[in-house]
Amino acid sequence: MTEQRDQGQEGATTEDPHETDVTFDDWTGLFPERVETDRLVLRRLTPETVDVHEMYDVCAHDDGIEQVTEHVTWDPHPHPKETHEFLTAVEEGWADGESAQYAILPADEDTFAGACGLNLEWDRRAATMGMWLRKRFWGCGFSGERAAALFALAFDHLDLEVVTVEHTVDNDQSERAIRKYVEHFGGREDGLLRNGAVMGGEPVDVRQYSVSREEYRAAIDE
Amino acid sequence: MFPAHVETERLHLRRFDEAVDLETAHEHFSRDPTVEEEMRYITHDPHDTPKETFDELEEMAEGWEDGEGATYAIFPKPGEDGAGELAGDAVLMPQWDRRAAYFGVRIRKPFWGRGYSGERAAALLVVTFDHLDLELASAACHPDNDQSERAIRKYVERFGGTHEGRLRNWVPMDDEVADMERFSVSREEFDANGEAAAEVVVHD
Repeated sequence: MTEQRDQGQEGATTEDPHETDVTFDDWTGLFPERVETDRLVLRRLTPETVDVHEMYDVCAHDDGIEQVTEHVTWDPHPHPKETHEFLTAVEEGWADGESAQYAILPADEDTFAGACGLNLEWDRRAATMGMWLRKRFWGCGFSGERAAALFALAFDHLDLEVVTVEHTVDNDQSERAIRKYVEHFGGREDGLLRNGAVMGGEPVDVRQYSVSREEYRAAIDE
Repeated sequence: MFPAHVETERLHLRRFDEAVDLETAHEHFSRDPTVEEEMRYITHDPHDTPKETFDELEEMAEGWEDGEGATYAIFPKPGEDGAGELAGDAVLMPQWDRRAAYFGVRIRKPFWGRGYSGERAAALLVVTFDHLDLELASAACHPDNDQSERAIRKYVERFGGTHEGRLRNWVPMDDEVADMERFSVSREEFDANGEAAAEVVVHD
C-alpha cells in the first residue's frame, strides 16, 4: 500500500477577487445597466436602483462617512437635494456616454456598499476608474473585484486603450487596494502628480496608476 | 494679470499679440512644428491661411485679458545672433484651481542650441511664483522628443524640480494618442534655487 502525497496541494483555496467571473446585461446606449461578479452586483446608479433617501442617509450620516469623504472629491451631503443633484448629474453622464456610474450591491446584503464607475475620455481612448466604499465594507476585497469588472467593460466592450486610477497621497487604504489590482493586471504606477487634483477647494497631490489593454489581456490569459 | 514684458540676460519676452505683426506671426505659425517644440496640451497644426493666424492672435488677446493664458514672443537682445528677430513663442497656462501653471515653448531652428528654452523657463517661473502666486509649474514633452526632454531636464534640475512620470494616452494626435513625460518645479524648490533666476527682470 502506497501513501500518496500530492506535493502541490494547497489547504483551503482562497478565491482571488481579481479573477472573478464577470457578466454584463441590460445594455442601454454604450453601457450595461447590470454587471455581475462572484459576490457583487453593479447596477446603474439611478433613483430606481438606489433610493434617494437611502443614498442621502449613507452619504450624509453613514458610520465613518467622514473617513470616506476625507479622500474623495465630495463632502458628506448636507441635505437630500445634494444627493438628488448628484444623481441627476450621473444620469446626464450616462445619457451623454461620458460616465458610467454604478451602485455596488453585495449579493448577500440588502443595501448598497458604495459606488463605482468609469469616466470616459474618448479622445484619449482612455477612462478613469473611481470607487468609494462605505466604511463597514472596507477590507472585503470588493475593490479588486469591482476593478476586474470595470477593466473588462473598458477593454473588452468599450475598446479603450488605457484605464487610469488615482488616489490622494495620504490615502493608505486606497493605495493598498489599488496597488494590489494594478499589479495583478500588469499595470504600473505612472507617478506622483503634484497639485494633480482639487479637493475641498484645495489642490492635492495624487498618485496615478494605469493599466493598458495589452497588460490586461496578458494578465487575463495567464 | 500677466506682465507684458519680461527680460532675461539675452532675451526679451513680450506679449505676443501686441509685439508681433500678422505677417510675421503667420510666417512663424505656418511652419511645421520644430523638433524642439515642447508639448502643449494641444499640439499646434501649421496655419494654412493668414485668417487662422488672425484668429489665433485674437484668442491670445482674449486669453491675456481673461487671465486664461499668456503667450509671449521671444526676441534675442542686441549682441545676439539674430537680435530683434522672432526666435520663438512661449506659453504660460494657469490652472487656477490647482494653483499651478503649465509651460509650452517653440524655438525656431536657427536659434537652437543656445539655451534659450531654459532662459525662457526661468522667466516664466518668476512670473508663475512671484507674480501669479501659484504653487507649481509643470512642463511636458513627447517621450520621443529627446531635444525637448534634455532642455526641460536641464532647467528642472537647475531649479530643484522633478520628473513626475510618464502619462499614457495623454495627448490625442492625428491617428494615435501620445504619451507624455511630465516634469514640475514647486514654489519651495524655486525659492531654494532663486539664484538661477537672478537675471530675470519683470516689467509690469
